[in-house]
Amino acid sequence: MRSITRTLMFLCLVLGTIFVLFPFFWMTATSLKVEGKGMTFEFIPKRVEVLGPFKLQVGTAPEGKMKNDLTELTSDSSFTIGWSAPEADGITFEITDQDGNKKIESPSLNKDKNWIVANSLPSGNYSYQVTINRSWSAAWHSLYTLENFRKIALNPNYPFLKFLRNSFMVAFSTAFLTVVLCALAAYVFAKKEFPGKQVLFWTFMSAMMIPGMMFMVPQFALVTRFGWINTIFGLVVPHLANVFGIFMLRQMMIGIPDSLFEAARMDGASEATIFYRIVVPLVMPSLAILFLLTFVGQWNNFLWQLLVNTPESDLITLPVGLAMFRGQYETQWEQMMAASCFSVMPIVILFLFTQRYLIEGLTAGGVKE
Amino acid sequence: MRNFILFFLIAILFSSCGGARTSADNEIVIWETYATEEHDEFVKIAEDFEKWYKAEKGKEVHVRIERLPFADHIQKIKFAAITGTEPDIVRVDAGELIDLVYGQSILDLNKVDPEIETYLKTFTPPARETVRIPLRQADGSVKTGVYGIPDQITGVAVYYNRKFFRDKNVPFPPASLKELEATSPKWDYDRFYKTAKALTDSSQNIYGIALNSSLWFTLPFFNAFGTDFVNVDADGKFRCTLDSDSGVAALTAISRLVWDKIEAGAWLPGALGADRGFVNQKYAMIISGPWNLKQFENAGVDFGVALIPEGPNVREIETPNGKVKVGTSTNVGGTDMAILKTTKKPELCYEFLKYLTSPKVHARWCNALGQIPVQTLAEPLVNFKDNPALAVFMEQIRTAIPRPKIPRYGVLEGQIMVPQIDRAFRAGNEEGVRKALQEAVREIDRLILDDVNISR
Amino acid sequence: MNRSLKTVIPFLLPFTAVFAVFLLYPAVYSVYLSFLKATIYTDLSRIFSDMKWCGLENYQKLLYDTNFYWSLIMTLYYAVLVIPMNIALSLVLASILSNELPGAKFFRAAFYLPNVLDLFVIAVVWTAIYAPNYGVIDQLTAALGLEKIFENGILADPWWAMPGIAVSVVLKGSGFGMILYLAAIQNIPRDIYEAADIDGASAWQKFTKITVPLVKPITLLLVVTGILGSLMAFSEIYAMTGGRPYETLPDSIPFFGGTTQGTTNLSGYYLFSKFYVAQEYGYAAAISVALLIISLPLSILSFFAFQSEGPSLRKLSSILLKKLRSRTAKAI
Repeated sequence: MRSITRTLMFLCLVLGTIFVLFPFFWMTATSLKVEGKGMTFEFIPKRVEVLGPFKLQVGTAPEGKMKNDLTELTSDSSFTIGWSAPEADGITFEITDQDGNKKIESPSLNKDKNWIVANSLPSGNYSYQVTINRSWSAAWHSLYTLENFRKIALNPNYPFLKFLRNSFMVAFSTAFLTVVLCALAAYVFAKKEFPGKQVLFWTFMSAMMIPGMMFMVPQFALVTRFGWINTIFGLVVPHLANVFGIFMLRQMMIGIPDSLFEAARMDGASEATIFYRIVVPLVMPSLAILFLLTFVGQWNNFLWQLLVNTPESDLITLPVGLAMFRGQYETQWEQMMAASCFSVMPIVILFLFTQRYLIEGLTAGGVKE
Repeated sequence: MRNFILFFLIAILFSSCGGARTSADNEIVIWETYATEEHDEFVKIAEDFEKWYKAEKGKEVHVRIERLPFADHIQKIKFAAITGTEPDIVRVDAGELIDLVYGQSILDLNKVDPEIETYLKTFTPPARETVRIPLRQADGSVKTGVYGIPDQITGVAVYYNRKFFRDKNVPFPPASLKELEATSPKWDYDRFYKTAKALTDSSQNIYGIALNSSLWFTLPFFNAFGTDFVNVDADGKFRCTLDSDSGVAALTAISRLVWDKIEAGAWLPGALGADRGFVNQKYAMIISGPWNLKQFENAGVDFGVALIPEGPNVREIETPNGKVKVGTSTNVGGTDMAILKTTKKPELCYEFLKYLTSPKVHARWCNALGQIPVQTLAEPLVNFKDNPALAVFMEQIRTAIPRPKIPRYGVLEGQIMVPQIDRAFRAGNEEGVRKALQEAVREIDRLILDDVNISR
Repeated sequence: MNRSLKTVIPFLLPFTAVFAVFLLYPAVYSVYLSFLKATIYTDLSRIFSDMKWCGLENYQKLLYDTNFYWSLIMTLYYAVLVIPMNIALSLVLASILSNELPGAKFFRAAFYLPNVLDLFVIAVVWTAIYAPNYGVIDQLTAALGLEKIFENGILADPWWAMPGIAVSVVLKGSGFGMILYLAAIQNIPRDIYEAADIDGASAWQKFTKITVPLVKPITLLLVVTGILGSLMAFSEIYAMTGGRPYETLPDSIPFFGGTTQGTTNLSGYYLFSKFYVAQEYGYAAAISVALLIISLPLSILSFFAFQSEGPSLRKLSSILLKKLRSRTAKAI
């Protein structure tokens, strides 16, 4: 009985994982596809691809051409039918007349000779069909490629590596300073008595209830007045007062027994020592959570980073860079997704490191420095 | 902990490379936006201009081109204008320029060049109209100024999948104005409906047409039916007349496709959008613009481009091959280059804009990027031979009618027209369409025109 | 008194300074802004200095704004959907993962991962899942030979669009709640469960009688952040539906009858459209003041509930600290 429930649970988890990771999978798959295939539902490469039937009117020039179509009228009654697929093992053509009778079926041609001349046909309407055979590796390469990542990394107009550095810098500085500022203040609210404490605390808390959008205009005006446009200060400082951080850390710090502090004070420890040696290690997991939350929040903070950087800024961050790259119409779907992967990967890596630390830090009760 | 601090110090070190720059005396700064591949071309033109200016005027100047993300570009420019961090020239979506003009941020080019109207004469009329913006004056009169120079124009036409047409033996729709005039039966909404119906095979999830429920994508139909969007009355007040009989007829004509399930439901939120459905060969026809040409070619779709069907608004259109009388029309998209009022070098800015839109430079731009010229003098220099589909768009844009010249385009589209077009698509009868347009007019009055028509 | 202030100031000053400049001043300025008005012709470069005092005009306008009331109702609907779903899923995941299942670490990481993904990507994928005919859900039901559940896809259905968004938001965000719960659950001493085992308690009884009460502080934290999050939610709407689908309400409905309303138009999104799209700063400020007035009592109520749960929180913390104490003593 017990093992059945465990197996069931396990299965549910596997299914759930597939479900929640689907966006991730989809993004990665699209970023690896060759240009033009990103918008399609094709995920498994095809070894045999049948194209057509296409209309062929002997006596008149073929209408409309597809990519890779080499079909052309060579004289009044003769056609060159061709298809370029350099990576293919073989290409066959099949020409049928209006009544569906097979007229010409070419032998499987190799890649250097992927065309035939249809000069023995009386004029009239025909249709032809192209069958492309590929090896597994060629089929794979006809759908998937690493080219998108190369293009993204080397694009001279959109230095994604620099955007990445900027984003890291902004997210890291904000997250780190937020944690420091919040931890300091939260300690006081949790463990100290001073006049006006309640008033100050509730003033802080009520700021949590104002929609963030409303801070934008005045904050932007301030940043401009301080001359912080295009500087790291403009990107970082306005987000440091994280009220939720104080709230969360205070809840954790309240739980620390006062006896610990008294013992330390008796040993002659200063306030700073107590804070650094006792409080910080004890609430480290919460600090890590706050760090991660702020980091992720700033990593994806498009609107503010757009406003504070003028386009010539050296501090353009990834979300803004991605938006610049997007243009009016999302025509480069595959490269867009490659760029998105580019912006998601660092944060996934950061998470994979911190999540271990978070969970183990909390569960094993270990305090690691 | 120590590592954290180390990291932070490194981060601070990095940060020292940022910092605001101010533009020098002989420098102008341009914020450009729209499609990504245009940036290189812009930079090249700026360099050529610097050389040309030195040779011509003997003065060293510098033009700095900066790229702005298209998403939110109008808000970004407004914020910059509010705080005085704006550049000398902005490139802005043709429909959004009006907001900046109402915000008193844009220089009226009549002040730099009293002959500006003459200069604009050689531009294609729909593009020219996007920069001529009427503004209510303090005395209640309406004065039209010139607030920029158009540099790019787009519009929409019908993309169709040839395979579906062949399979069902449906004749291809006309691809040029001459063809449209001659074709029989007429490529009108009746034939459009029948064509779409013949191509629909709902058991296979294949639909004759896919539509978007936005004002921009519906304007071609309003235009083809001759619907006036906004009129200025005798008191100089703006009045919306979208709920006229022709407006109702236009919206009914395409809503019928939705009601009879010939349309794929691509307009519904969350549905497979028109572009993606076309690439995946599910939709036989879509309404879209030249920006998709490359994408569709790369995806290997056997497609053609045709003109928007004809409505009752038959007009005489000038073409290089003579005049034609047709009832087709399209909308106007694209961008304008506008000079900010705060610039210290209006003359230099104006010189650059004239250079950018001079026939040779503009033709080079169009050839390099596969775009439709806005400067008619450039047309003979632009080569469409390799790109017959683009030539169809070129033809279609001759028939374009500009967007309504009222501010808050974002509100008009997102908060007023999308809800009401959705409503019309669900309505199921003409009465419902009329009601939707009547509410649209009320909402346009409440959210836009009441604020425009105040006494200043 | 003086002495206590002296020790407190260095701790408080950095945060308070940033708070005063970048939150308090903007907040006060916003309230001031809600009494001002600019016209559509106001020069952008002087927009704040040229705004005119208009008294309560913005609030009067708000009083008759059906769109605003509608957005509040939709926000309530959204909150009622998201908060319980989020708490339930986080808790269930956490209690499953607190068992020693093979690969538990991997699953934890997997369920948390969507939290850090860009909303743009998430929205594109969920749209693909919900899409009619070609969407994952429709293809699944078709493969199983079932009737189509939603004629036009979930996001186009006025009744189901909001639940659809809520599901995607919950699945993206529940990883965070899961981690918090996981930490709390793993700090419940094992002997409590062992004692329950001896008494013959079932797994369900252990879950409801031990786990749920002991993780209450986390639950309350999620409720508070959920309420505030719902009132300010806009990016999920922006990315997925833009307030659509719109419905014209029948005349029989009091107050809203005859108006056209977005069935996913949340108050945060409405504020965004007024502030960022229409740039009516004065009116937008009035909306945000109204939102503040609504959320304040709700949050204070939750805070008090939170406060009264102090004992169990302290119990949890003391259990947590019992383990840590020996090590920290060494550290000092």
